[in-house]
Amino acid sequence: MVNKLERYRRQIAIPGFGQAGQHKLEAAHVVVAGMGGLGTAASIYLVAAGVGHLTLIDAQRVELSNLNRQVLHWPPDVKRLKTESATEKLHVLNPSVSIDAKAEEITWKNIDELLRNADVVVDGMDNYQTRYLLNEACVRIRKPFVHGAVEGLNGQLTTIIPGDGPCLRCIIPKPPPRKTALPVLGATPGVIGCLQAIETIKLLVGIGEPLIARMLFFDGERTSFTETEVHRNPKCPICGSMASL
Amino acid sequence: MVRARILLFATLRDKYGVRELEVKCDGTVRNLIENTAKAVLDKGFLGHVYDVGRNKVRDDLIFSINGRNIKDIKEQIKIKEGDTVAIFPPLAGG
Repeated sequence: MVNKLERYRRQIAIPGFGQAGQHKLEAAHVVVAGMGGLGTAASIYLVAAGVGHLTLIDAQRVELSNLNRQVLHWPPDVKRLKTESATEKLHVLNPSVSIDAKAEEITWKNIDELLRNADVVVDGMDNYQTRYLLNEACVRIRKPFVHGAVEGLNGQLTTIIPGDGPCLRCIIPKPPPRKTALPVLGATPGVIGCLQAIETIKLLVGIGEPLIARMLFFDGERTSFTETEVHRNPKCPICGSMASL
Repeated sequence: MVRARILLFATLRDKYGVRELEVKCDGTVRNLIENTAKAVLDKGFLGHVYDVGRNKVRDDLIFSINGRNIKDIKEQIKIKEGDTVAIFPPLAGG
């Protein structure tokens, strides 16, 4: 117990966090959907902070071209399952965190089971088809959803609390044209993934003001952040009929 | 005519090679986008940002006027002198 307190001493000292906040993290379950650039960055900080239980979802295997940004996967991991590669390092980083690796594609058939025990769901996907699936399920089963996306030196972030602020479909009703092998500087998902970890920890501990009803844009070319207000669409096919919190 | 400040982000900036410009318009969003297309010397900009058939900004973009998403503005939209319009193409990668 003493060691545990020492390990987390510097975050316990944050005003409003305290030992009670640490206990909340230890009792929490976060689902990280995707073990790419966003998911690896976010999960490192969630595990380092002592979130008690993580479920990592990704059906893919590590490719050499992933290594510029997917920082939990290293050269010897090429061709291994991303969930295995990530779990191994995260376990070394913090052995007290329980990690559940799911090497599965997310589909409408398995999504409810995958998200059932989540306190927060982190978006580490690389396509809107699966993001919309996660968004719909999070609205339906009332799970906070921390959305992030990147391209090049640009990133975007918002926190979705069903019933309190818009869902992803309110903000982006139609998916942007699908592109493959998007250019991306590795540190860009690092920035957004770390912000997703901050949002998640804030929600779990109950500190700060989450990024609800605001979309944050990171412009790495100029190193600037811009935000815009975003609101619920009463006609949204996903959350429009839901009562406000 | 009024003058607005247009900010382009991410792939829009890459495609049209402009980060920020000042554009005159008659106060309508469509005219603002048409005049931006002229300013960036690319007619394709109009269709990239505006759904001409439905006479509205495309659904797969975030178009904000002074920090408010155009989708959330219920009142009649009139671009005013000095307004800042930011156009964000949603990002997809992870």
